[in-house]
Order: sequence, then C-alpha cells, then structure tokens
Amino acid sequence: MKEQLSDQFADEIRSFFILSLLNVVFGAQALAFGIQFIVTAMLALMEEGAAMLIPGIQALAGGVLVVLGLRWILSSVHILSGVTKLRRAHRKIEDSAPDEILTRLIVRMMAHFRENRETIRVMTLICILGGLLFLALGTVNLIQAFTEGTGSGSTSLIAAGINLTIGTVSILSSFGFRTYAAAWDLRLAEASRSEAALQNVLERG
Amino acid sequence: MPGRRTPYEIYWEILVFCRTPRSFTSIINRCDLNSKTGQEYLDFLCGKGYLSTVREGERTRFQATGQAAEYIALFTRLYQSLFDTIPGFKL
Repeated sequence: MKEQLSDQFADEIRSFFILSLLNVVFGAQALAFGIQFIVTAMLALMEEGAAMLIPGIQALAGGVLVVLGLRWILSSVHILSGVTKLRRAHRKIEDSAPDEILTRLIVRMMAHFRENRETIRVMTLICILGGLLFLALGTVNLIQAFTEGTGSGSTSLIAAGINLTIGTVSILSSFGFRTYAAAWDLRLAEASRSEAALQNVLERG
Repeated sequence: MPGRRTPYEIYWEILVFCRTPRSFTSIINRCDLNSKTGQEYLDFLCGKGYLSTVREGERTRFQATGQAAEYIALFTRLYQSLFDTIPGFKL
C-alpha cells in the first residue's frame, strides 16, 4: 500500500516535472523567434524605400512573442523549481521510511499546488496562446514552402515541421496542466471536507 | 516547508516533530513558522493537551502527548487516502 502510494506520487511528480521542463524549452523557443522577428523587421525597415507595414507587423508580432516567451519561461521555472525540490525529497525516501515522511511530502505537494494554483492557470492559457502562435507560424512556413519551390522551400518545410510540432505539443501540454490542476483541485476539496473530522478530534482535546 | 499550509497541516507537523522533546526554536525552524504564529500554535496544542512541556534545566521543551496519536493517525490516513480515491495525473 505504502509502496503503491509512493510509486503513484513519483509518477505524478515525474509527469509534472517533464511538463514544466517542456514548457521552459517552448518558452525559450518563443523568445528566440520573437527576437528573430524583431531583428528581421529592423533590417527590413533600414532598407531605403522599404514599405513600413509588413516589417511593422512583424516587429509587433516579435514583441508579442518576446513578452509571451519571457512570461512562459518565468512561470515554468517557478513551478519547475518547486517540483525539483519535491522530486529530490521523494528520492531520499527509503522503503522502510515511516508513513509520516510520505504524508509530509503530500502536505508539501498540496502546499506547492495551493501556492502555484494561479500560475498553473496562467500556464494553461499561455500554452494555448503559444501553441496557437506556433501553429500559425507553422502554417505560414508551410504556405511559404509550397510557394517558394525547391530552394528555400525545403528550409521553410523544416521550419513548418518544427513549429507545427511545438504548437501541437504545447496545446497538448495545456491539457496536461488542466488535468493536473483538476486532480489537485479535487484533492484540495477532499482535504477541506476532511477538516471537519480533524477539527472534531482537536476540539475533543 | 515552503508554500501555503492549512492550520491542520501545521498542527500535524508540529505533533509529529515533537514525538521527542523539542525546543521552541527547533519547532519554528523545522515547521517554517515565525515566532508569533509558532507561539499561537504551541499555545493551542498545549491548551488542548496535545503537547506537554518538559523542563530540562533552564530550557523548556515540548513533547507530544499520547492524545496526539489519534490526531496524527487520522491526519495520515485522510491525506494518504487522497491518493487512493482520486485519479492521479500521469503523462
């Protein structure tokens, strides 16, 4: 029973760790794309007689990606650091460890979720937004690949593959965050219901 | 322990930690409490008879009484059951 509980706990921490780590990578990717967009737009704007509209839109999109990427990285790192601590604490548990050590980890995990509840909700939104942006970028690359022909078309095709994959995984990870939040929301609600029983025991004194 | 905890979780932590006599400083350090709230929790638990004070020379230590066992057992059972009854999260 205790071993099963410990395994389940380890599975949940591992899954959440992977989810958070993936999001750090995606955030960095969004930031890099944003910077690339801005630099390309600036170079286009510096050309004499160049139209302002397209580079302007590109710079704006780059700015949005930079802000989104930064927010994405910061939120993911914040969650990741908490999960890493829990993971390390769980690894130290031995099979013969008393029940209290595992319960203490559960309490820590609940405290971590309570503290990061809002961040996780923001992450769910950021993942959807970022995912949609990557999917849009991938679609633009795909259109470019078919219109440009064999030369730079193959580069666009590779870019489309990367962007569409990141976009899809990002949207899937938003579902991961939602599932995680749903499981822990239920646990918090159940723990709140248990408080009446704990209060009764405490009051008996 | 970082993060937000409920008073019941803090009571449980104090009682488990005080299975052997502990000083006030070690309790607030271990349970990550400030002196004021730490004192309030200890006063409550002492008042309800879950903690007793042990004098060791000039020092006062706190130790969980036999009554605390019921609370610790109930808390442990309830919290571990959160993983049994609610479907977990797995990628």
